[in-house]
Amino acid sequence: MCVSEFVSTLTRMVEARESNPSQVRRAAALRRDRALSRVSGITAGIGIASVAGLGMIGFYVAKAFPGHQYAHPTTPSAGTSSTNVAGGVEQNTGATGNTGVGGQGITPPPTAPQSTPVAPPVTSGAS
Amino acid sequence: MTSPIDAGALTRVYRTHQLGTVAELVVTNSGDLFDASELLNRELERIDRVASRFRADSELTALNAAAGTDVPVSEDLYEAVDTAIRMAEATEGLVDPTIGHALESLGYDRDFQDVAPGVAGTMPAPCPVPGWRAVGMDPQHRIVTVAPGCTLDLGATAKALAADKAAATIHEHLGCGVLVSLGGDASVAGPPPTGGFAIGVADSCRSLTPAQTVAVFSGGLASSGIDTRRWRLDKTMVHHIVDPTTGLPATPCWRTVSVAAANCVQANAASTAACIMGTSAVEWLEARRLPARLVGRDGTVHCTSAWPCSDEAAAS
Repeated sequence: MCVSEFVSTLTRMVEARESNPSQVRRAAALRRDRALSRVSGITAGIGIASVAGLGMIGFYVAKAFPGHQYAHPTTPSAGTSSTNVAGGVEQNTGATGNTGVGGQGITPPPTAPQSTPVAPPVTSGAS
Repeated sequence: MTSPIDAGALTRVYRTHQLGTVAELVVTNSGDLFDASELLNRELERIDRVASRFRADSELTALNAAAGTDVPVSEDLYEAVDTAIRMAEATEGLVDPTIGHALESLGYDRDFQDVAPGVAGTMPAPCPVPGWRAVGMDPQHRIVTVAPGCTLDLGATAKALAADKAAATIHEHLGCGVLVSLGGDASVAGPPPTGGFAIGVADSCRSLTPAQTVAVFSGGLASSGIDTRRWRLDKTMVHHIVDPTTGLPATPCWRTVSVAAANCVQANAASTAACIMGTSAVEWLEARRLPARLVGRDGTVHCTSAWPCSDEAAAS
């Protein structure tokens, strides 16, 4: 009894395939496209998650290692005695005109030099 | 505010020989000269102990020997290296502290007095220096990292830094106006005398008298030139102003360049950069409104608009 029912089912399936092959092909194509779409979505999700994960790892690794990037200190430029302490700056200016102006670059003196007839006690450029 | 002391009355000068050069000191109150000289000597000894490339026991020598590793350094050395890096950045890499190996290749591997008579060797092939970005700085932990194969030389900035710090310290402790000059790199601090501190400006190291005298009221004034430190490398004359792009002595264009700036470090960096960049130096200095006097190889004098030109320079 079961065998005969199985055989009759198979027979009907073959008959259905043979009667409408284009419909069968379309259905198969649809199933294939839906599967590919699912795979594509999963792959994209994995890619985005990987990039985000690598970025976070890189951020934490960079924070873990000190001293390998030149960090521009926040103290004024040369000519001052200064201590750059995390979270704050101590600056000993001490004298007019000796402080670095702006902390960067090269800037003119507060008062420009002037010609003078006075005999100089020191000379620049002679040694 | 200026003190009532006439600039012409400042004739007492303390002179000593330190850092391989002449150190000079002028103060507005002659009674402070002795104490000021003590402070000056202390500052010079400190910078020598920290930043000398020729002392086996200097902190800089130890830092160079540990290239490739993170080295915790003293506050003084950190400031000296940081100053050099800032000036490298400010001069677009022209005044670069990573020229140590280049100088050694040219024979300048010891005190200049031992190099001046001449050294044996051959001119090295052009090779750019590593560059100031090869130096890592961690201000929070005061760590300096010099890239492997890189040697620091702080000669372009350390002397001027010492002048600035000595002047500031003297004024802070004694209250007087002060002029400190180290090999012609001058720093002024405190209230200047009436008419300012008179500083002579020479055309070259061979000049017996200054070509011009200017009054400086604040900041620094420094001169650089290829004639000051020259020596013979076998049969070739070389000098100490290295072009970082070649690792060789800069092409001679100016005999002497004198610049005034906000402090001596900046003035020295600007004058050294001008010697390296050649004919474009006048425009570069003018763009920064720096008072400057440039003497060409033929003796022609050029001044920027902020410099008090003498009649001779105005006519040239």
